[in-house]
Amino acid sequence: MGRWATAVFAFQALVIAQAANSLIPPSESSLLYERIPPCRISTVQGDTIFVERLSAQQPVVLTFVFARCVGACSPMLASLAAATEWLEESSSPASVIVASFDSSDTPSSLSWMADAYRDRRRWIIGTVVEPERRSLLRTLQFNYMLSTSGPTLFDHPSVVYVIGQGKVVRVILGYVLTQKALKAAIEQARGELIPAYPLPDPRIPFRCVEYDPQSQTVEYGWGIVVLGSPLVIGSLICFIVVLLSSMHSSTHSETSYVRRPPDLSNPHACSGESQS
Amino acid sequence: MASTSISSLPLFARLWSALFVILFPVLGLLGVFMRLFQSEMLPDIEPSWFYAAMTLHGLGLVGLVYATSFALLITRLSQYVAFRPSMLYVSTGLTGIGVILLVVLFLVRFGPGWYFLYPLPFKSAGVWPEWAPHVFLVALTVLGVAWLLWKLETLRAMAKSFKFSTMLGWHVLAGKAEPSVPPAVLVATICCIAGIIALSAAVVMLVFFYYTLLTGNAADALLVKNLTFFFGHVLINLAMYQGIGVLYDVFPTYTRHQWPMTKPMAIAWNLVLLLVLFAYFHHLYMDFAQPVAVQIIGQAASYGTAIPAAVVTILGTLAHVYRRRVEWNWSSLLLFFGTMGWAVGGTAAVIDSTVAANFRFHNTLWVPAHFHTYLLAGIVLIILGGIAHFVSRAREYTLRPARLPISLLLIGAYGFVTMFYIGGLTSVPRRYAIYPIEVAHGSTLAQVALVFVALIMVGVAVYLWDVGRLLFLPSKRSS
Repeated sequence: MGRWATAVFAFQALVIAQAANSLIPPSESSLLYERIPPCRISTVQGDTIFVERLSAQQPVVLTFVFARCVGACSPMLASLAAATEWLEESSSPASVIVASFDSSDTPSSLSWMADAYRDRRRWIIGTVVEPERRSLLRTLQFNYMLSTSGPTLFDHPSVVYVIGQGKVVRVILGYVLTQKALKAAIEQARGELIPAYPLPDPRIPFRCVEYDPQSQTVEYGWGIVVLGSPLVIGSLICFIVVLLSSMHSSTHSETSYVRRPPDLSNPHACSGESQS
Repeated sequence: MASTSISSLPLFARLWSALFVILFPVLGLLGVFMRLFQSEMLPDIEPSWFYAAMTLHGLGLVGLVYATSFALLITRLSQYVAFRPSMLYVSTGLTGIGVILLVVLFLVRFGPGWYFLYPLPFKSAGVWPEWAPHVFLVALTVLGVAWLLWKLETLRAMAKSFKFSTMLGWHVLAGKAEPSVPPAVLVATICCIAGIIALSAAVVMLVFFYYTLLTGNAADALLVKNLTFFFGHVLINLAMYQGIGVLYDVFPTYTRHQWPMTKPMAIAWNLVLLLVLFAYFHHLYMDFAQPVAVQIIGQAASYGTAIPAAVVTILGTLAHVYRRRVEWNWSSLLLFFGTMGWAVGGTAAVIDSTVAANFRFHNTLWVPAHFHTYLLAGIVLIILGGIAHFVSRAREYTLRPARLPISLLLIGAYGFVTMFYIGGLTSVPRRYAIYPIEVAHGSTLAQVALVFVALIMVGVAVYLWDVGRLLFLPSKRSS
């Protein structure tokens, strides 16, 4: 009985571990400048869009949802809509692709989304054509699994990929999106230089720059003070050495500073070694 | 502890001169290996050897140039102040241990580059063993302690004979002519103060490296990068300044014209002390998280350090030879052209320290171009000239003009760096073992550079035959 209990417990642990592993969100550091595989989107309107070709012409904001989602998809899409509102009035081209990662979805099953966001001219809503869907999700590290809250629901990350010239230039995690972050990412996809700040790691002592993700502001940290410390330490050491040496010196006088001035009339006398 | 007499110092100078004439060609050959690699002439060798060679070539030569120029300056200073030889030899011994450890690291292909930017030493990518960063940090610590002891001893020795204000030439600034202080003392004082501050930065930097090593936690990469350049940039500049101290003391021997400490010289070197500590910010222009103010300080300080160098040293050297009967020989020619090489390399450095130019030249071959100019065609020539002077005086040997081998050295050095400059202007990146197709012309430039390296090798070989071998002959006293 004990053995069976252990085996069941071990199996459960394995399943939980695998489940946890399969939900690891995409890592921006490993995806940065990763080329996306060729893939097509079948849109709700019945068109076919080649994502790679489109991203070669303009920045593409890509996110994955599924039609029956009762969780994060709706608030995330609402947040995405708010964060990309400026795009509608912008003269620079850019597209937002909302694609289903669920193989059972069809373009028509996503029509409610198209209705909800019909005022978004730059949005492309549809499904990824098989078998390109698998390779796209694998490349973009988009992991999902069946949810325990319903038989046809999925647990999945809320993530936005910003793609430029066919390569991933930014991965933004979370269903709360800001206009500032998306605007910066789109400009980066256009090839403009956008500063990036790592999120604060509490284990890193004496950072030069502290970034507050809430206010998205940069402040200078204690690292700047540490940077000035060698100036103080070194000067103090010099001061002590000079002070101690001067105290033990009996040779200081206004006339006897140079013990052996080089005799310039005799080149040999200039070098100490020749006088030995 | 007894202070040294002058007679005990030649051994110290001889030791460092001998180390230089042996190690300079050996470490230089690592550079040749790198250019051969970039020329695609060594297709069967792993690229990891290129990076290991780059690390040892850079660290080794910078360390060698720094230590030898300081040893030569100490030798010159021994005319005026008394050193404790034990301190000098302890530092020399520790330097030797540090160098041996670096060679061991080369053999296991330790290759984070000579900037060893944090956290690269900890990122082996499976190339070097896990213990390599430990050994590397021990090597850095040993070298840091050695060079700190040297600086402290030199400052102590000078402060025992001179007032601090006199060492810095403040009495000259106040309009007093007496007491007369040799410019080498002023230069050595600046080098000691800046050196001790820079080595303090190295200590703080090492604390963060050890923190990561011992706890596994990350340190702030931007802070450690700042500290690395704080000490690294200052140290390489001091190597140059130490050579200039030797120049001030030795060159008048051949021009028979005094090079006294004047008010412009005192102003210039005091300014250098102030500016050299802040010029390193020009290495961090691409770190846009840095405060904008320090980037501006970086450019201003870089421009500022060039003015005293140009006004006092370079114009001073030219004034020394203009319409004067100069005794031209191995020593004086090398000292003169070394100083001019410093001017040329310095100009390229100032260009690179301009934000607008750095935006284009950053991490291109322009960077090795400028530092090879003021190192290979600058301080190395000054050191070789200093050694030639030392050897000729110790052995009462008359140096020959050696115009041909020096011409070969100069043509070789400038041809060699010109290939780097062209590479920089045409966007060839630095630190690439193999050039991608977009910058494939980098390989052609490396091939041409090798032709000029051959000229340098001939020039160095003649120098070694003419001058270098004298270091290894038995001393006259014993014979």
